[in-house]
Amino acid sequence: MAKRSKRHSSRTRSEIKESRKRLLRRILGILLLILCYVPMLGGGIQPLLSIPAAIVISMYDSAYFCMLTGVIAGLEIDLACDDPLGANAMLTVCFCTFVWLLCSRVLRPNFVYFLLLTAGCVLLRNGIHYLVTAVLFQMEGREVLWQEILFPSFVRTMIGAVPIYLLYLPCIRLLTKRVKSMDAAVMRS
Amino acid sequence: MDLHAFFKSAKFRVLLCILALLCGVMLYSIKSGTHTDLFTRMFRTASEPLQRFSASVTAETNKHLDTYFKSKAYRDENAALREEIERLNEQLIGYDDALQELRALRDQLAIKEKSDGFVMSEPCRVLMPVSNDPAGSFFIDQGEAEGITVGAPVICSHGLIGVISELSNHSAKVATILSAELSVGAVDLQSGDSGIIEGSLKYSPDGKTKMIYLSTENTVKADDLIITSGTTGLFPRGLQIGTVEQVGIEETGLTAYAVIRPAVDLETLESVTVLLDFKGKGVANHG
Repeated sequence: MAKRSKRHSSRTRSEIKESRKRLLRRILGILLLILCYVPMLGGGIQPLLSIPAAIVISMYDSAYFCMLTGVIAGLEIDLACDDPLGANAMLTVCFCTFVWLLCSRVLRPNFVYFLLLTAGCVLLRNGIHYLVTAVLFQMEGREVLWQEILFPSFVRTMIGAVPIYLLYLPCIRLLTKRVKSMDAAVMRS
Repeated sequence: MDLHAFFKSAKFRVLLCILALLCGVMLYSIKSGTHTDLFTRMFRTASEPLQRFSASVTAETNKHLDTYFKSKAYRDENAALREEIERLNEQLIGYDDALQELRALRDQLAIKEKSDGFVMSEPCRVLMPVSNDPAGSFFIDQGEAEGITVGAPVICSHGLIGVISELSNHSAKVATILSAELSVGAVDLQSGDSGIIEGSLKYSPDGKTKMIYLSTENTVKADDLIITSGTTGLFPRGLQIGTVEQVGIEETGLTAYAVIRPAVDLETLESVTVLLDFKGKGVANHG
């Protein structure tokens, strides 16, 4: 009986430890998102750094937290680019959920997939922005918007995505419980 | 991937709820128009320290990078300015006569000094530029509480910068003369040709704007000075807008246009003034 109780208490302690790690990882994720917001406020052509930050978080975290990061990242873009509040947030929530779905069921998260997913999401966001603002309203010189603003912003975002991944990776490595075998992974899931 | 299970899960329902909520917030934000909505105000107030910090870091960084990356541009600009000084020195010979003539005309028409009748705001600090906006819109640190209204002209000592396009309690958004949102009645000081200054995506990334609806028989030429005409009652007459860079005919062939380089360097603005009131405000004069 005593043995059973001891095992139960150690298991609880491990769960508490795990939940603390998860909480810490999420706080670091939110801090990363806030950190990425600062360079976006500089004016002129700026990278949309909150997209790669949200994607890297979505690759390694749970569905609800991915949605939350998507909302925060989108609202940051809305405020920095002065778009109607919620317009980018809707897109980023979808991106983050899609990335979570992919990484939890199909892909094994790694740097190459991160870059590909970031590129896809940023291009899609910029493409939609271009369609809505320039093509829909038939603005004069609309091609300039893509060449001079959206494409350079995409390139800068991709460059900025590398340090974001490198910054978040240690958090993942340190704060995620490692599984040593496939059996253990199955047991955990 | 078992998408069917996902679409039936609570996660998908939560996602739909978030999307519906965000859609509502977006529609409310769009509906609020020029007066910034409650949510945006709230978020902007919360992120103001970050905005100030970011703006100061960016300004300092740009200042340092500018010296290295734009040295050639500065050298060329220096050479161009020297040439212009020489040209202006030559023109200066006839300047005294022109000045006397101007004074006489002013007396004759009883035109007051430019700044008479202007009610100006306290100097407003440029809070934060809007990212990825080719028209270079920016926010200032004064708003509704300081008596600023939507549509009020924003100026500095060099001339017209733009107008107030959005307003909240203690901040306001300025749409610059590079923006397509803005239409300013303008006149060529040398030729007397009038038109409308309206930003264009084609020219705004280069820091230029466009004067449209010029007559095809206009006599506008490069380096002419463009000022506000004051005919609409939205802007006082005589505010400097910029100089003409090139003149052309629109694709329709019905009107001409001129590409204008603004008198104000919009990238280096740190402080601006809002014109709260001026003589002739709200009085359209098409005569």
